[in-house]
Amino acid sequence: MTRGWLLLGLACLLGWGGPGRASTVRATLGLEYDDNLFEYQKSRRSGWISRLYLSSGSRLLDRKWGNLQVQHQWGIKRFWRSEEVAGTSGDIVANYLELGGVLRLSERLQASWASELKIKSVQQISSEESYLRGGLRLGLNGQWGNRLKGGIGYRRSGDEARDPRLADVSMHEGSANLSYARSRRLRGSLGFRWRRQNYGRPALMERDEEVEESGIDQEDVGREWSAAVQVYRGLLAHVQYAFINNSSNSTGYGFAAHRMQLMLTRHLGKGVDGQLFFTSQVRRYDEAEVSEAAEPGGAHDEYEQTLFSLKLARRFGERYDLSWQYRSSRNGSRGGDGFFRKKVYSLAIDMGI
Amino acid sequence: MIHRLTVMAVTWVLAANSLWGDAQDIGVLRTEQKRLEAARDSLVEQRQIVVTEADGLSSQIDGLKAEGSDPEELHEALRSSLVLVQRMVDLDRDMEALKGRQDSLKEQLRLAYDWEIGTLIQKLSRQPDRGLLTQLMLYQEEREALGTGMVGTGLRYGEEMAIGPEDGPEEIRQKMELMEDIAIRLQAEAAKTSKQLQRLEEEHRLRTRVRVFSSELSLFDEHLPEGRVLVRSRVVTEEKAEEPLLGDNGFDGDNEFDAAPPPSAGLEEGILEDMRGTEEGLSGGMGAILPAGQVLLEQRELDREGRMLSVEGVSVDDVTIEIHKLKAHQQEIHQLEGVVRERAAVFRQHLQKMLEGEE
Repeated sequence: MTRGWLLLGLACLLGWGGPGRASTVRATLGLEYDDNLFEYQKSRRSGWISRLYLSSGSRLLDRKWGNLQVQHQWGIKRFWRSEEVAGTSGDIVANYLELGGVLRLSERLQASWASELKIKSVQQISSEESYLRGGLRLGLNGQWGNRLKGGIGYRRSGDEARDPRLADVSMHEGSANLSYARSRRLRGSLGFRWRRQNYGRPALMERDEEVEESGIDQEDVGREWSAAVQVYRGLLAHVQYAFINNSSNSTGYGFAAHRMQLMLTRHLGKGVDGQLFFTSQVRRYDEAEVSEAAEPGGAHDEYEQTLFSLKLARRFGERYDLSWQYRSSRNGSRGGDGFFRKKVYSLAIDMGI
Repeated sequence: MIHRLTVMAVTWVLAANSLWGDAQDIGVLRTEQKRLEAARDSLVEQRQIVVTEADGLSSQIDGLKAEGSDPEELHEALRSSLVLVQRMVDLDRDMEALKGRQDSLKEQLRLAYDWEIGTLIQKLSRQPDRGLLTQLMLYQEEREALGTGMVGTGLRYGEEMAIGPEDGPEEIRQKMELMEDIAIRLQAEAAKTSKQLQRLEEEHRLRTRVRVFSSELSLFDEHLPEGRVLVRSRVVTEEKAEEPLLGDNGFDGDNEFDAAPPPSAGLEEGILEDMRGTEEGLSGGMGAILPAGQVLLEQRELDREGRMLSVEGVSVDDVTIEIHKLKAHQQEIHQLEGVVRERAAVFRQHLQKMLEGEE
């Protein structure tokens, strides 16, 4: 029944953001081969996944004083084999809708807002998480001279987990950013984010060498400092480094993390464009003793995520793109068994409708 | 040096005279254009009526001539036909005048659009804005629909041509060559602009690819890191499995998680109850021994508040603006080139006439 409502809602959303109003609509149909479908460390099982992705964007209102726009993304990944031996194969359906606008307050100052809704529904796949997210973003952006831009923002969002094992997350986030563009092709930016997340689950506290539940919810405060550079000279390069510090009122959740992202894109010749993406995040938890007792060396106090992707795409005519992608990732704790690796090969046709 | 200065001066004069007029309000001009179109339609209709009447009268005259009827009646019919011819001549003259006004208005509209496009580009250079960009695109489309041909330039350049009565064939030839030289330079500039435009369109495509890639990855949470989540449970004996102490995250030890993980080091003769799935599913979970027979279990959890990939800075708006600016510039060059070539042709024609006259 829930699935039916979801599909109905989806149809409405597609209709709303569909070709009738949309200024841009893209569809991607692809096939993937995943060598670790269910993200296990041991007993890896490989298999095929069908993938369909649709995105549309439309400007509902466009005036000198501002605009109103809608953006919609919908995607489904259908696994060809089931996780359990005699079970049915699963799928992931994700739906994202954003409605936002800009209000020009003056020639150099503008206010923006956006409301977002995301539904991710997972069937029969234990490694994925289902949730419903709603959010609101507000922003104020200004420009000083021709090169310097800055802005402040506020974001409020809430996650309702569709799996009882997972937490419902409520978040307040404040942010500030400053960017300097020496030219359109060379841009640098600095950013800061502060966020408070409430997990809706009891915080754990150490008392008399015992870990107990407290009567209050777990609440984390995260701070993120980031710096990014973007260069274009035939090759489009975007690099970002971020340091994240998270403190929590719950034992075992405070951590510091370093994150690096690199995106390189260039035309390789004969109509083929190449894209390389790499991201790596290393996270170290503050309370080492939580797991040191179990595994000396603190293997599970450090987590690492690494994702590498190489994509080649060629355009055919005005509308079609054929792309091939290789993706390799590692996710989970450093050392020990608490992580998984996977490699994904995919072939897709992209259409601009 | 003098040659270069002359080229610049001529270019400036041409541009100032032929392209940069006083820009009038596009709305007013469009209204006037509609009014003239309506007037033209009315004249065409009137002319059609006159043509029909003339045809009828012509048939009548032919009939009268064939029948050899009353000559007075025939003369009356012929007089009427002369009136009709006069009316047709008047209508044709009015239509010609109207066409001239329409052409002139079209040129004024071109100027008005060029002016507005230039102003918008200046504004966009200072502050990128979607609304202004849309307006620019609209104006450019409307401007393109008006075409690049110059109306009535022959007459105008005839008036403005700096060919004095004292100019001989040699002077005129020099001026003509100068015009042709400017045209070649403008052609080279147009080719250069075309290459720039091609590069910008490639940049636009690459930036769009980055955005599409990141949004697709983000939709399925494929970019998110996994962190740990701690669940407090109780160490139970093999004989008696107790319920976990806490139901953190909804854990209730039901069948969903019935497979027990391997005992952790230090958990002598004990097993941990309440873990996620099978051994593989527990890949991130190892326990820590705590006092009073309790244990903290680790599980993996996606950092769901991880934002989209940090490609906010990879914007296509700036490139789109640049593309439109360059297209406007290219259009300008083509116009200027057209004007210069036309003027060179007029010079050539003048020279040819002069030489023919000498012969």
